[in-house]
Amino acid sequence: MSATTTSSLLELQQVTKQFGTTTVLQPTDLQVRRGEVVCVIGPSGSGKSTLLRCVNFIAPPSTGTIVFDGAEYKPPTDHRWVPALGMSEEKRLTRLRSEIGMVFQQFNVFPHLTVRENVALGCRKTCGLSRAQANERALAELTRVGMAEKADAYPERLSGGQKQRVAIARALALDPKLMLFDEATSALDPELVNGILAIMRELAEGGMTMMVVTHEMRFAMEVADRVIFMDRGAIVEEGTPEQFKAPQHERTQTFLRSINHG
Amino acid sequence: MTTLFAALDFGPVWEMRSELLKGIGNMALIAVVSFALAIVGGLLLAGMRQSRSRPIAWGGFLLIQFLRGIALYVLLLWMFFGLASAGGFQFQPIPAGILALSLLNSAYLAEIFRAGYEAVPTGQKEAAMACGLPRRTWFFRIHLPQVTQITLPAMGNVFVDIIKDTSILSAIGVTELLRESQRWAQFYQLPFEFYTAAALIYLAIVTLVTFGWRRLERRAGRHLQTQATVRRSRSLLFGIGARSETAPAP
Repeated sequence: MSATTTSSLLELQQVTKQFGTTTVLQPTDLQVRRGEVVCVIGPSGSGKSTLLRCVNFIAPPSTGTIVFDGAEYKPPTDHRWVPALGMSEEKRLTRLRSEIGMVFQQFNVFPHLTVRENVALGCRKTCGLSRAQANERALAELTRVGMAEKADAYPERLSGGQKQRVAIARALALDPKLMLFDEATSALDPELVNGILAIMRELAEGGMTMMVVTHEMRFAMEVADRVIFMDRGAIVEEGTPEQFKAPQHERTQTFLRSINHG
Repeated sequence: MTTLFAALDFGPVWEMRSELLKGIGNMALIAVVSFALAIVGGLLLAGMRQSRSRPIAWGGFLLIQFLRGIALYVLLLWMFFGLASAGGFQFQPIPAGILALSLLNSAYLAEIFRAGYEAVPTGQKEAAMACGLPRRTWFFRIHLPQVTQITLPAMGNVFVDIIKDTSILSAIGVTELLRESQRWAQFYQLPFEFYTAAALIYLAIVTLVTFGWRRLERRAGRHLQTQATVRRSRSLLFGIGARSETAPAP
């Protein structure tokens, strides 16, 4: 056990997620090593996004344990009568989230803040940087994704690809140990997809630990250290991209065939 | 027509302008203070309704339902005359009016705020959480500004309602615009002239407020490309919120 805890950054133990009576995530075990890039593929509704949302407790798991960087996190108790009781637990989760960056399909940039403020706000509130330091950091991150010249624009004036770049910069500004990409390119025009993928590729080469939910099979095959195929809320098959060229499971085969020729 | 209106005499209205102005001053004071208190109350009530704590959420729901079901006129008479006779507590007219107006309108604003809360995409909260922002930062820096932008038009309506509803306060002897007009209409025996003047003054004030409010709305929505840019204006009311675009990068 000690070997796994030191080498793996993230470990999911029997994590499940239910919404009411529907189970969207069957008991799942997963380990992600430091520096590893894990791509999660599968049909829609298979629980890929839910898996990612459980990791940073945006949608807290119903049962199970998540170990991140040596610390254990359990599903928070729902204090319906006295919410103040949940404060310390919530603070701990807030700290966890500040160590995990997330990029969404719908970008979710803050529309009422300028590009720079979008990126700087997190730095100021979670890393305790001063306004000037945060702005400096924000500008550095924006330069990295090629958005520095738009620092004072409002997101409304940006294209989808540009919004997503801002969202990536916003996540990176917190210097996360793990990056989650939830179909980061699915809402983009085909022309803009490659720009975002290039940024993600660069990140992966820089040694960032990443979990990527994607439909871009070529990206998954080239960048991933490990590919996970999910269906109906469970991991069906996992292996290296090499192994995924000749998948074992029948469901995986049909899925890959349908997206390659569909 | 001419013979009918030939006898009109607006002279006394003009003579009494300082009295009417005093009435307008009281009206403005009551309307602004009530509106401010109603916003605070509305936020509290909406917050209660949204609370994760069940008892607080229920309490908020009951309070809103209760306050929405009360008529302003009835509440005023009850507070001012009813409480005085049975409870031995005599309100001053203006505080009673402000309390009644802000209580009832906070319930309306709470419903408006709740609709605004729900209109902000859930992705905004998720993104704030994912950025490791604490709850209060999410609420004050991400959520509330967007709720404000969404709810401003409806809030403007409530403000206009409050302004007009101050006239009901004349029933408990608050010397606002209508009360003053009534007084001088009786004194001079010129009801048509004084009530016409009062009506026009209400209309003018509401129009001014509406235009000023539109400025505020534009400022709140300045991040939206489709909005016309706010031009600078030196006038008192039309200048509300007029400010140049964000300063360029240093």
